[in-house]
Amino acid sequence: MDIFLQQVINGLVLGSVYALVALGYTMVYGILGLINFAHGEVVMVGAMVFLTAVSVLGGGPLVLSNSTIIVFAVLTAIFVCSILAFFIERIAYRPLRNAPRLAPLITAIGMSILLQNIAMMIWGRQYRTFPELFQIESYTFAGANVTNVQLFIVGISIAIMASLLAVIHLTKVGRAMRATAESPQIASLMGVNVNTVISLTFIIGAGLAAIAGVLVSANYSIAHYSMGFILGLKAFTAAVLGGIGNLTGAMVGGILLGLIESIGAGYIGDLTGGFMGSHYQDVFAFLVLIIVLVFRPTGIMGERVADRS
Amino acid sequence: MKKKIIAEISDITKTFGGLVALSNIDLNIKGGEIFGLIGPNGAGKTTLFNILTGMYRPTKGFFKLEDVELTRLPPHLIVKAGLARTFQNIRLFGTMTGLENVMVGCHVRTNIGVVGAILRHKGARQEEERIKDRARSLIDYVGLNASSAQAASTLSYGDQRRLEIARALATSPKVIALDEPAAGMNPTETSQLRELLVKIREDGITILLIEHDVKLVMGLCDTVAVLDYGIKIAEGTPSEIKSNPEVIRAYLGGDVP
Repeated sequence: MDIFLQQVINGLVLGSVYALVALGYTMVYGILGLINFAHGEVVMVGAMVFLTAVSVLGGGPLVLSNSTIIVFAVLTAIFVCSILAFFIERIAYRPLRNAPRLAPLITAIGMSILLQNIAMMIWGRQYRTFPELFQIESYTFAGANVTNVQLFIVGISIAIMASLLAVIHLTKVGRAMRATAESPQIASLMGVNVNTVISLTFIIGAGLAAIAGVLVSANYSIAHYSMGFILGLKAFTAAVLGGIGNLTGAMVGGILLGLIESIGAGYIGDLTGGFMGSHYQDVFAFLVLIIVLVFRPTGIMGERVADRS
Repeated sequence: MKKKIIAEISDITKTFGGLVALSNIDLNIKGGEIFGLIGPNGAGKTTLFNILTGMYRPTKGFFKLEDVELTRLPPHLIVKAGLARTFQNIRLFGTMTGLENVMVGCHVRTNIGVVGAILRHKGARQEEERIKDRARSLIDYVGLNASSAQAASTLSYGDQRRLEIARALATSPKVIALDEPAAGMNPTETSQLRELLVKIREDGITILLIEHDVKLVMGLCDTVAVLDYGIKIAEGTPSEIKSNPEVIRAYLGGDVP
């Protein structure tokens, strides 16, 4: 089996999920200049709601086909996460819109801890396994294995990212979002309802996060109340790597981070003579974060400096 | 012919801490006129614009447009009610194209909701086309020299000023407030601007104009008001203003001869 190709495939799968989550960070940062640290928890809630919806729909009186169950459960997860993100913004961020930068950062972290604990109370401390809703098939491709789930994850991620770019660049909603990202004040003086745009940004980001949550738990066949924390930090790293505030940057950063992590994990054992194993893969994400922050704080595609007048 | 009053500014006062930026300003702007607002730097002209457009809240007083009170409404609702503005220091959406800048201005007169716009059904696509057509025709109207497909920040200074006017016109205003539109323009650009302002007035849009180019103001405006240290010291036709001793004192300093 070709290790390199295998790690590239794993990296692309992981990277697509990072990219979806990173988009949520970058959109919110682009408009509010705020790091929404509760975003990782939205991903977790997406996964958990999906699992609950699957067990309710699957165990209900109606006999539904598996694909119907999946579609309804995903829609439920998106819906719940959107509502959740809407209220996160209203409760934790909007009252602090004009406060110093540090204040919403603290409420973001507080929100993250709060959501984790609420999730623990609702769904318990134990790992929850992903139901077998479909037959996992494995294909061998040039010496590397790829499953239908992995292909699906990459495919759906690309489709979603393409549609997001289309919405941002081709619709009036997207135009209003870009205008607000440049200057909320000027946008409002040109008739844009900035509060609506901000709510919408959170809702769209949460929709992407919900899908990412479903995908990541499908990939690892597992979900846990704390899964959003590290995932969120890594997606944030991906957003910084790509250039925070830049949508294409978040996608590129996500994929790149997934690849770095996977390939790094694949070879770290050989490189250190077995001293460090593949469970050190998390190290790479944060190594990347440090390197980017030191050498290119604007990220790969970010040309806009973070401060705005 | 007696024109109807379209905008009523009454007793507007604004203090910043102990500083009185505007004190009891009353202005009545008639429909279809060009109303000039002049005064030395720091007189409070831009502050008044900021109050009218909802950026600042007045300490006292009110502002009505066609008998509807707009004081203390959020900016986007004031735009919707029919007051649009441009900025002294150009504030375009720099990374967006010229056309997109104007299209943002069109949003306030559109009907398709958020979900419809995202799903891009037939009605939404038609509306998008209408927005684009309208934005294009406004860009022609103000006479942009460069391509409207380039990023706004790359346009020449004069074009950026024109684009700001097009973006404000895109909101279909009843009153358009222009904050020093001729600032930094060369004589050719200024005379093009004068033609544009006349054309806007002919099309029935009332203009509220802050300008330092006295020749432009005197030649163009129907009514002129003069602010000095936050107080309205004179109001009248350009010829009345020119001979007003208070105005001469404010501009030239010293005693009235």
